[in-house]
Amino acid sequence: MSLIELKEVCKRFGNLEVLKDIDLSVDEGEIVAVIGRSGSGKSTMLRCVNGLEPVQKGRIVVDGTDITAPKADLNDLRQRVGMVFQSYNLFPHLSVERNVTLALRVVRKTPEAEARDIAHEMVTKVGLAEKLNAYPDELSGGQQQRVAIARSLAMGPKVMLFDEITSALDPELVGEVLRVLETLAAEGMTMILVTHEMNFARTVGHRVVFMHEGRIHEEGPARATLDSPRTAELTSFLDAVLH
Amino acid sequence: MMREFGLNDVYFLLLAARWTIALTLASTLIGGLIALVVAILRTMPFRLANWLAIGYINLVQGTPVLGQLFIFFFGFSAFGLDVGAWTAAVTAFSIYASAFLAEIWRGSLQSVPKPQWETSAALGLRYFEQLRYVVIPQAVRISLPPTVGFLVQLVKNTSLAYVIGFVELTRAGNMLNNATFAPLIVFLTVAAMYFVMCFSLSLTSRKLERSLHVAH
Amino acid sequence: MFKQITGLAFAVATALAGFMTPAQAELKDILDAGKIRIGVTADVQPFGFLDENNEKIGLDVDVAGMIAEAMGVDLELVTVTSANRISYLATNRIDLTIAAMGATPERALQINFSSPYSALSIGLFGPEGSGVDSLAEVGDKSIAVARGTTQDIELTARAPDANISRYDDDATAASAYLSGQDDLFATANIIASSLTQRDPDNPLKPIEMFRYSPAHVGVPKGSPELLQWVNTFVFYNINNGVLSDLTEKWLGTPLPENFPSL
Repeated sequence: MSLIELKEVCKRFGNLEVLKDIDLSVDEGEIVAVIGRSGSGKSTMLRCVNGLEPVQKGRIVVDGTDITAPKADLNDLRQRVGMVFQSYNLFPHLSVERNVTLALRVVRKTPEAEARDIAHEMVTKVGLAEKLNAYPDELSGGQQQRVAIARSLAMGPKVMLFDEITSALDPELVGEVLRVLETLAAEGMTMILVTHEMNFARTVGHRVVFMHEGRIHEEGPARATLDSPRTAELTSFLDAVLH
Repeated sequence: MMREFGLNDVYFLLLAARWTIALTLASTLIGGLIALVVAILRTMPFRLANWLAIGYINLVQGTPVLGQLFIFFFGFSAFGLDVGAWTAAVTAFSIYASAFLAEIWRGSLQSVPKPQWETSAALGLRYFEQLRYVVIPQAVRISLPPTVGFLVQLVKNTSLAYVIGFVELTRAGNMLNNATFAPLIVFLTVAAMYFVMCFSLSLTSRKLERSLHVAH
Repeated sequence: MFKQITGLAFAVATALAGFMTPAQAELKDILDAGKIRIGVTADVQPFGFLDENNEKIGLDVDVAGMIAEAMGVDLELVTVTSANRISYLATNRIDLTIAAMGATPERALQINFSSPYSALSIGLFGPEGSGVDSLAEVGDKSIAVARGTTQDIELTARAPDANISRYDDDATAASAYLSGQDDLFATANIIASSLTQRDPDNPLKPIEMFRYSPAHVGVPKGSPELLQWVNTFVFYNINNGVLSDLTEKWLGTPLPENFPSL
């Protein structure tokens, strides 16, 4: 069975239909790159997967939990689904270490010492061990984004959702963040990433999903789909971003 | 018959200033607790709670604190409930402070960027955990200057309690003025005492702001 | 604006109290309790004000002490102001008010008055050579007065078109006059003579005396026994000269031969 399953998902903001009959399933260990123009619904779809946005129709099952059921325990689900945002959103009043341990201490009730050990491990993994006691405004954008990833990883998620996490970064800082993602990929982490980094999608992604006007317009193996798109829309989109 | 203003009178004013301070402190503490609840009700994603909070804030802000003092002092005693001047004054000023602080704190809570809520939600924190660990600590820093600004007003407004016979600094000054007929020295002393109170509030706030800034 | 709100609030409080008619203390209740609560001012010279040690003294404080002693009960002095003395009495926060209060038919709708226990003269005063010899000659000169006092009521009735500045109390009105904010000062003769004593170079000269203003004890409505007792107390102590001596001590002149009674 797949880890994530979307069935006929529809989502509206008022009268605006942003997701139309989305069907998508993601297997354990799979890396899915979601691409498309802005406004095509990619970020919204991602936010629906961990329940940040409610849907009007359809079913979303994540790791055996139907999150569209009326009594779904979203907080329990979110501990198994990590999410990283475009704008990092570190907690400015907490040090790097406290940013990473907060959810462990509050949600998991992990003992202080153990939470710290986990924080050390995760922050080391993203290459920022020396910044453990720094505050967010003392870090560069790339460093902040790596801390944000460490913060999500600390909860031991089964799947990671990445929402355009390099879009706000200066070009020279993009590489350090992508390298962290490569490490995760090598470890076999299940990931859905909304991205504009076509090269990254092509080399690291297993599958590419192209969204257009609220629908999944085309999908297939990453390399093949990006090298030889079947639809005119994907072709013109790729032309626009690659040239 | 009319006596001179003396050292005894400064002491008398200092004793009265204690009541100004006590009234301000008690109203800030009790009012602050109510304000916290009201500010949260006002901002939480639950319409009925928002309406209740808005109604409370409008009701209190729309009535003069003087009227509230009367209601608690004379109104309750008309129903056979004997409320002392201190109790009535603390009640009235707590309610008065709660509405204004709730409104200040609502603004501070709402000025914490929405992604902070979302990110903490995505980490599995529940509503009140998000509020307590992520939003309130950031809102406190934003709210500090306007909160202290209000407290300085509150210190001075407590003088209104004289209408129900509560002897605080201003009322004591009035009484001394009528014993000495020397308004200049009496009210200069009174003003100096208010200044010391309000200025130390501002100083404390500036210190606190700085320490909060260092700790982010 | 502020003063109007205060005035309105006191009126509402008093009306509410009258409407609710809370249980008033009768003579028997006071005797049973062994304690009488009497409202006196702390800001009206020479009736109730603060001495050098900031203890309350004055004519009214002395009378309150005499009443408690005559009843054989303990005395609890409660500080009231000219503005709230009637509300305090009407809401049963005090048993009697002895607060330099003159009787008017309007006030008598809310509380009862005893026979007068003392009196002072009230009138219009001004500096030497003011060129004003009677209230009729005041013209557009401004007159300082303490708001809501008997002298305010008299002044307003006698010269409705005069330029009157009303202040919270006698001390503030006096300051307004002394600092030149106002040209004339309507007050009690005792205040005028005290100010003259303090600064003999600038004496306050009487321009026109309004009237003799007796002071009464305020008794709550619905306490006929208490009212009767206070009247008996006043009658007895005027007859034996004690209240006249007390008036001389605080106001400088004894009570006249034929002092009126209610």
